[in-house]
Parts: sequence; C-alpha cells; structure tokens
Amino acid sequence: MVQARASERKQRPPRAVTAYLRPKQTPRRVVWQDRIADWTISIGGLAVILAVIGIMAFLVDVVVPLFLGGRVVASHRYELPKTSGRPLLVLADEEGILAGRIDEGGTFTSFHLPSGREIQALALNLGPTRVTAFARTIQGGDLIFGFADGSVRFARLDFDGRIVAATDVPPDARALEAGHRTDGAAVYAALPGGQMRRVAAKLELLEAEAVSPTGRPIVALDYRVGGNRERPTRAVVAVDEAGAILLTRSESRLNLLTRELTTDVRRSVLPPVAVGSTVVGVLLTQRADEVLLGKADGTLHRFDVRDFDRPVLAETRDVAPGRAEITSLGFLIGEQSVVVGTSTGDVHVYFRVAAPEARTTDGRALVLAHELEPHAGAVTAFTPSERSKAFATADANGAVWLRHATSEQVLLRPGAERRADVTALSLASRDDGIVTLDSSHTATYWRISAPHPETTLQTIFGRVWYEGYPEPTHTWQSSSGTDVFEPKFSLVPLIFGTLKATVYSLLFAVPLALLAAVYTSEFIHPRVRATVKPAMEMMASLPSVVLGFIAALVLAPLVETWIASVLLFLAAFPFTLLAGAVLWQALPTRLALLLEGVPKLGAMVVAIGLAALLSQQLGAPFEDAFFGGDFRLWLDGGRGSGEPLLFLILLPLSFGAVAWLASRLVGDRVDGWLRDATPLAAAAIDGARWLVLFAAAALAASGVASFLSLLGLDPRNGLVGTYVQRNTLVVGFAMGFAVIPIIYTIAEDAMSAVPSHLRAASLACGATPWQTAIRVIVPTATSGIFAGVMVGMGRAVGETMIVVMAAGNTPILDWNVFNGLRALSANIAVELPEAVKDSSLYRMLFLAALTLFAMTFVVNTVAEVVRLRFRRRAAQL
Amino acid sequence: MHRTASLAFVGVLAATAAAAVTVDAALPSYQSKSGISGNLKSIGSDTLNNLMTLWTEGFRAQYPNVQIEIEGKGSSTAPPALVAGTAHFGPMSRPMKGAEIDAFAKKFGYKPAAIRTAVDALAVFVHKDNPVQCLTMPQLDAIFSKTRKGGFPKELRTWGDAGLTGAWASQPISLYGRNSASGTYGYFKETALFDGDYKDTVKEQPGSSTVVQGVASDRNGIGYSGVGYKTADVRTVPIAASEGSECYDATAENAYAGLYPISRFLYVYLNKNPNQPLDPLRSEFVRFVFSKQGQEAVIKDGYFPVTAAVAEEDLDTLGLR
Repeated sequence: MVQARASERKQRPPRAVTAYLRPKQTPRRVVWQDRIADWTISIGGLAVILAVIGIMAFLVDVVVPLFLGGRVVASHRYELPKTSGRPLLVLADEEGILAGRIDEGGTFTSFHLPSGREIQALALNLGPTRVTAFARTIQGGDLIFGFADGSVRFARLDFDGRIVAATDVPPDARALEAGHRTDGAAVYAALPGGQMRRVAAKLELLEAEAVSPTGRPIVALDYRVGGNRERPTRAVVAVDEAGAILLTRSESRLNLLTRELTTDVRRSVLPPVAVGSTVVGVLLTQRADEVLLGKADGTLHRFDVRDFDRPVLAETRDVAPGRAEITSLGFLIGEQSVVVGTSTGDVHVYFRVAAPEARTTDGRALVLAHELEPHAGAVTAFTPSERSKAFATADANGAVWLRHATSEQVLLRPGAERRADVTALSLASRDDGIVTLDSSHTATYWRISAPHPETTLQTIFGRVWYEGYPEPTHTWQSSSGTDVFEPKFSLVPLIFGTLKATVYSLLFAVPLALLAAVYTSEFIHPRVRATVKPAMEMMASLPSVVLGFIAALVLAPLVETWIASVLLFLAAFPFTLLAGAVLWQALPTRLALLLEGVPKLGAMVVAIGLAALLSQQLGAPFEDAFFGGDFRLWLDGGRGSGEPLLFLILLPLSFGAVAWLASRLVGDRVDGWLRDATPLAAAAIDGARWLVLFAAAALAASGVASFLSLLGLDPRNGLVGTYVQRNTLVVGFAMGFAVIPIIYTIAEDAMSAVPSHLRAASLACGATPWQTAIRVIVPTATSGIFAGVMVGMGRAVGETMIVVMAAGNTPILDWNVFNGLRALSANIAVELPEAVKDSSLYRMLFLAALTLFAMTFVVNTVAEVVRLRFRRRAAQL
Repeated sequence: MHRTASLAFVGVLAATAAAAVTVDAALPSYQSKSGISGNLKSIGSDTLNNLMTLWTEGFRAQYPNVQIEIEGKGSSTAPPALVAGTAHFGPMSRPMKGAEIDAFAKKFGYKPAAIRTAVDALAVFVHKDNPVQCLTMPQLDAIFSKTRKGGFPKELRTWGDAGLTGAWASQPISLYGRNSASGTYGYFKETALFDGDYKDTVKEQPGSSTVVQGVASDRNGIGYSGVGYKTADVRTVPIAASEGSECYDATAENAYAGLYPISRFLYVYLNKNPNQPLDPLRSEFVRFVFSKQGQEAVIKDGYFPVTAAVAEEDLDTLGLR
C-alpha cells in the first residue's frame, strides 16, 4: 500500500465512510488471468495465420508439379547383336521389361530392356523379295511390310503379359539384371504379394497380299486398326513406285444374337499426284476418311476420302520453307495433328480447320498451328505418344527430344549429342520410357517421368490453339472418355465466370441491401423494425443448396416463360411504390400517423404486389410494343434494332440526371409550393412533379437511345445475347437471396452504431431525415457499410451450390446476362470426383482453388485497408 | 421367397409388356447359396444407377443380410474409386481409357476386370411435339459439336437448318447433355461427335434423368441419354449412319444387330487379382447379374439384356464357371 504524503492527504476530498478499504493494486489472480488470456489470444491468432499459410503452402505444393517438365529416372545403353539389315522397328512392352527389334532382313530379336541381353531371336520368313516400305499403327503392335514386288504382309507383335504365381517360374531360369529372370522365351519380374509378371513376345506374320496392280515396289505405307471388339475396322494405304495410291478399308460387325461376323471390304484408288520415288511418307486416318502424302520437295497433299468411292485431292500445301525437304511425317494420337520434320531441323505441327474461304475442295484447310523449337540437324525419326499429344523426335546429330505439341514445350532432352543415326525410335505406351536404335544396332533406353506435359503458364492463362479450332482460344474442357482427347485447361473462362456471377449478383443485391439498411435504421417505425430485422436474419439461414434447387427447377422455367413480365416488373415496381407514396401523402395527417407502422408496411407490400400483377397482365403488350412480339427471338439478333433495350437501360440513368437537374433548377420553387399547400394539394403537386420528371426522363432516354443505335451500338453484341434457361439473371436473384441478408445486417448495425448525438444535431439544425441519413449517417458509417459489402462479395465469390445448379455450367467468355457461366467454385465441386489423385486434372482443380483463394485474399486485403481508412476518419467524430 | 416371386412376376410382366425384348432362354435362373453376407459399395455411372438399384433389390431379396450402397455421379468417378479401394464395383457406360487402366495397373500390378452387363442404345431425345423424322450422324455432329469432324459442311443452329419447316424453322436448337464425369458424355463425344468437342452452349446436366427432364420441359430441346430413361414427354429420333443410309430407331433388334450406330455395352468394372479367386459375395452378385432375374431387371429398366454367350464369356474371364 502506498502511503499518501501528508500534503496530498490535506488536498484530497474526505474519504467516504466504508468498512472495507479497497486495495489499489491489481490482485494477482486478475493479472494472471489477464496474462493467460493475452497468450491464448495471441497464440490463437498466430495459429490462424499459420493455418492459412499452411493451406496456401499445401495448395502450392500440389500445384507446382504441373510446371516442372520431365526428368530422366534411369538410362541404359548397350549394343545389340548386329544383323545384316537396317533396324525398322524397336518396340517396348508396357512395363519396360522386354523389347523387340525387327530389321529389314526379317530378323526379329526380343531383348531384356534394362540390360540388352538377347532373349529370343527369330528369322521371319519374309520371302525372297526385298522390304521396301514399313509402317506401324500408332498403338504399336500392328505392322505392315511392303515389298519390291508390290505385295504387302501384315504382322502383329504382341507382348503377352500375365500375372503368375511365384511357383510357376521354371527352376532353371537364369537371372538377369534388375532382379528379373528368363527361361529363354519369357522374362519374369517380381510383383508385390509373391506374384510374378511373365512377359513374352509373340510375333505373327500373315500371308502376302498383292496390292500394286502393276507389281511395282511399294514405297510408302500406312496402316490403321480401329473400332472396338464388336465392330473392328482395318484400313491400309499403299503408294507404289509408279505413284499409284491404293486405299483398302475393311469393317466387321458382330451380331450379338447370331454371333455372325459380317465383313465389308472396300477398295479405292486415289488420284495420282507424284512419281513414287519422291514420296517421303503417307498417312491415313482410322476412319479412312483422309490421306496425307508428303513429297521430298516439301509438298503435302491432302485427299478427302469421306466419300470412299470418290476420293478427291482437297489441298496441296508447301510445308517445308525454302529449299528444305520433308524428312519425317507422322500423325499425333487422334489423327488430327500432323507433325512435319524437315531437313533443316524444323518441327511444325499442322492440323485441319474449317476454312470456307480457302481454295480447297472441301472447305477445310491445313493451318500451321505450332512451330516448335528446331533441332540442330535434320529430323530423322519421329514417334507419337499413345496417351497424349506428346511426341519424341530425333535428329541427324543423335539428339533425342521429348516434346509436347499443344504447350509447345520441349519436356526433356535425354539424348546426348553423339554422332549417331537414329533409325528406330519408340515411346513407351505409358509415356514412361524412350527407346532408340541406331544404324549400328546400339540401343539406348531412358526411363523418364513427364506426368504433366500439357500445362504451362501459357496454356493455363493464355490463348492456346487447340486441334480443330479456327484460332487460339481460352477454353475449359477437361476430360473425355477416350485417350485421343486433347485436355483444355484454361482457367480464364472460369475466373471470368466467377467475376460475372459476382458482378451481376452484387449489382442486384447491393443497392437493395444498402437502401433497406438505410430505411431500417433511419425511417422505420420501431414496431415494424422488430418484425423486419429478425425476418431478414432468418433469410440468411436458408441453405444455399435449397436456394440453388429452387432457382434451377422453379425460378428458371418461370423466368423463361415470363421474361417480358420480369423485365417490366423491374421497371414497374419503383413506379407503383412512388404512386403509393404520393397517395399516402394525400392522407390527413392524423390518419397517417395512426397508420404509421405495420399498416404502412402492408401498404408497401400491396404496392409491390400490384406491380407484379400489372407486369404479368401487361407483359404481352409490352413485349409486342418493344420487342416485336418475342423477346427471345429479338435477343437472338434476328429482327429489330437494339434501341428498345438501350432505352430500358438508359431510363434509370436519365431519370437520375433529369431529377438532379430539376432539383438544381426549380427545386427550391417547388419546395416552396409544397410547404404552403394542404396535404391533398401537396400530394397532387408531388404527383405531378414525378409524372413530369418521368416523362422528361423517358424522352431523354429515347432520344439518347436512338442516337446510340444510329451510331451502331447494339447491346445484343455483348451485353445481352441468346436466351438460355439457366442464366445469370436467375443466378443473380438466387445469390441475392444469399447475399442480401449479410450486407443488410452488417450495414444496418453500422448505421445504428452511429452516435445518436450526430443524428439529433442534424435534425435539430433543420435537416430532413433523408438529408440526415445521406449526408451525416451514411458517411460516418461508411467503414461498416463497406465491410458489409466486402463480406457479401466474399460470400458471392465463394458460393458454390447456387452456381452449380442454376448457372448451366457452360464455360463461356460472355457478359451476356441471359447466358450461363461456369465459376471456379462450381467447377471444383463438379469435377473433383472424377479426378484421379495426382493427375493433371486433379492438380488443375487445386490450382483453381489456389486462384480462388488468392482472389479472395487480395480483395479482402484491399477492402480491409480501405475500411480502416474510413474508420480513422469516422473515429474523429 | 415372397419377394423373389413378386420380382420374377414383375420381370415376366415387363418382359411380355416390352414386346420384342425377352431374356435369352439359355440364361440360368439364380440359385442362392448359404453364408453370403457383407457390404458392397458401387461408385460410378449415372446411366446404370437405376439398374444397380434393381439388382441390389433383387440381390437383397435373396440375401437380406447384405448391405449395398450405390453412388452414381458419372462413369469417370469409377476408376479413381476402384484405384483408391473405396468401391467394390465401378459401373461405367463407356470402356475405361488407357490412362485410367494405367493408374489402376500402377497401383495393383494387374489390369481391372470388366463385365458387360447390358446393351444400351444411346437415344437422342427431342420434345414429344418435335416432328423431326431422322438425323444422320454428321448432322448430329453438326448440332452438338463445334469441330464438325463428321464432315457436315455447316453448323446447325436452328431446327430449320435441321430440316424442319413452319413454326419450327426459326427456333434455335436448345442443347442438353451430360457433364464431363459421365461415360455417356465420353461415349457420345467419341462416337457421335467423331472425337470432336462439344459446343460451349450445351447445358451440362448432372444426371441422365435431368437431361430427359430438360428436353421434356423445353420445346426446342434435344439431348442424349440412355434409352432406359425415356419418359412419355419425349420421343427418340431415328439415326442414320451417314447420308443416304437407312434410319434406325433405338430398339433392341437394331442394337443387337449393330445397325443402330450409337449402341454400346454397359460395363461393370471390378478389381480381381488374376491369380486369386473372386470372393463369394462379389461372385454371387456377378452371377445374379448374369442370371435370368438379373437380366429381367435390365429389361425392366428399359435397356436390353445380354445374351447367354456374352454372359458365359464374361463369367469365364472372372473364373466363375
């Protein structure tokens, strides 16, 4: 206890007589409680920050692998037993255990891929004639040989992989590298669970078939096998030395009931374009509806064979610039894109797009879509991937590069520059290995990992030219049921969709909520306030899935049928409310005061209901007068000009301008009349004033609208367009329901918290309640109002269920309010169940989540900064 | 026993009512075994949703102790579920693609097993008042896709472009489809769109019945879904393979003969180790699916049953014969 000094004791007022002398020092218990609370809150706050950073770090961790290219996991190089002929083909099995090599002399060797040890060697009885051409399908196993006597032979190389028990391995099997064993024909690899994988190569050669009518050597071939188990198809195109191009297609159909197989074989001869010796390669599509022929001088001919019996030369194009020659030609999976390699090392990707103005016979043309990084030497070998638009190219210097067509990147450069002439190149079917064979029978095998070749920052945020599209676009179309599909991962339509949903729903929600808050805090009768506020808060508790459900199944069809009435209602209800207010003004003052409160609220509801009824009745005449009878047809752009909609949009703006002008010019005089008049007369003057203002506004709006539409401005070009049932208008209404209560509650609380002495002072100075509200209360409460709007915006950005159900989920880049959208949140919800863990789609969805997170973070931070600035200003009051 | 009898009775009624479609007489009638109990979970195709439910009911009539949960959000949800081990069965209305088989094989070492449980003629639905007689595959491609790989020269935007006259000529075609998780989406994209891309304006619906519902409520609508979801408010459009070919409607004979161009099998994928026998619970469910009662449920759902030959082949691959 501090002893007061004697002097101070004299100056202090006499102490009150109490029995208990209160100690002045804070008790230790309170200090400790204080400290504990301090620490708990600090730790809690830090933990929240750490959790947010942790989430961000986790998202980044899942997303980063998308942007790492490829890497080499292991590499092996060895020499295979030499044979007389040049290698034609090297092919590996799916697991990277066994591989096969075929050469021109007809020798087939299977070898253990990691070590190069020969397992089996067979001599194929190809016959006495020389092999002059060779082709294989993109999926690898089906082969075709072309001979110097104009015949072809089909073959099939299969790697028969089976799971057997560990006891099934023959005891005399000798050991190989990598823990594998072989019994001379098959290789056994251990699997978890005491099982073994047994892989054996199987080569089947069919009889020769004569193809060239004149018996000339075949110079180029292509072979396609397709269809499914019940409807297999097979197609072959052969070019002989004389330049004749022959196409054969066979299609089989299995009748499930009778088990009968009907096969349909058709042959066709294409118009000749070249002498055979200049042909570099020929390509065929699986449906045999297109043939591409490449000549050494750099010309590519495209034949349109959609009408099988009447093939047409559709287009001729020079694809090797200058004096360069085509050295390699091949399709990527899907047979849409063709990769051309030239003698100068250029690698170009072409595909066919619809081009009605091009000088081709079928209205389509080849376009140079991607120019990839050129090799240093001529491109000697090409192999496509079986899973994606990736491919590998080798050049004359021995460099082997793994590339991706759509993202235009080189994923890996595993091949060191050594003077080697790569003659056979193949990519493993799971894109996890590259095998090369050069003319000296040296083989190289790289085990690689490039799991996400199609994503780069450019493909995600920039325009990408996808196969078959006329120009580079932002598209989101993530998956499909087949491997040939090119995944289109652009986040731009999704970000746009989120912004569109937010903008339109805030456009609807913010004015309503803020004006409702102003009304509730400043004008409303206390009894009504007690009813209205809890009702609004209950509105906030509606689950958003229910809102989405009602919006999609009830509201959307309703709005579609009554769209003209809905538009009329938006214009009509301020009108009826104003008319009701003017009529209310005509009531005698005592009656008005008596009915203040709930009856007045009831009258407002009746006014809005009247507006709804009127717009329903007048909807059809309104549609006839403004939109020529059918609003949706008008939106489609068929008839009429954009003037009616421009007029409707400009009407509120022109009303505001005219009202402001009127209040500046004649406001004081009209106020003077109103002050001196009886209530009835005042109501009449007021009503007349509103009517005159409305008429003037309508005139001004129609004048400006005609002027703008003369200038050529038509809202149907961007702002509105074709009508779709599930559109942003419906989403705006539904999200409004979700967002309005939030903005309203926070804004209303902020305005009620304004100290009442300000309100009292303003009213005492003679300001009207409206002037007080707008000029004193709202500016003071701005920080709270702004916070409310920001919380509402955060809710709108993150809202998922309403957007999933009511917005149609179409990823379009269009401000049209009568159109759908696809938001980031809805996209994640809809697509996550189908994403295999750690696949490209999975990581892209996490990137979408990260983008949403970043957007909300940035918006909230900016909002907080602005809010604090407003608060500092208001605190001075 | 009561339940089995009534199910069989309904099955017979449905079989007779569906005129030409009957179950192959060579399919055996299901014989229940003892000692079968446990839980089964199925995650996958929405097209097979009702069918899985009917099989579940029939199976539980035989074995009341078995609990079966069914989730049908789309065929693309089946492979991740089988890989993660959260489902015993993965019904899919399209075959698994290479990347999905790779993901499964990477985890388990062997490939997934598939059984063909029903035949579906993927129907193209229009509003019951729509008079369109026939659409060729290239026309269908030009209506639904923006790439038009089927070769049709121009985009078909209104019903007039598709050949209708009168009041229909100026009405824009309103497109309904499935979302990308769906096997029906993937199968239609591969076959009818010739591996092209859908237009951005196709309204993606989460389920087969919502597609039909959308078309039923929209006069200008056109959509695709399994023929089992047909209701009285829509009609199916006969399809011709190409210009000049004959138009075939989505009926059983056309589907079996391979004449209807977009007919397909409905698959159920499961995880079966090639060297180990299938556990009794799943074996019995597969046997039930390939029995007379199981295939009668297929007819009841509006699809077409498989033949005894197909059933025997698939039972062989699973080692159940």
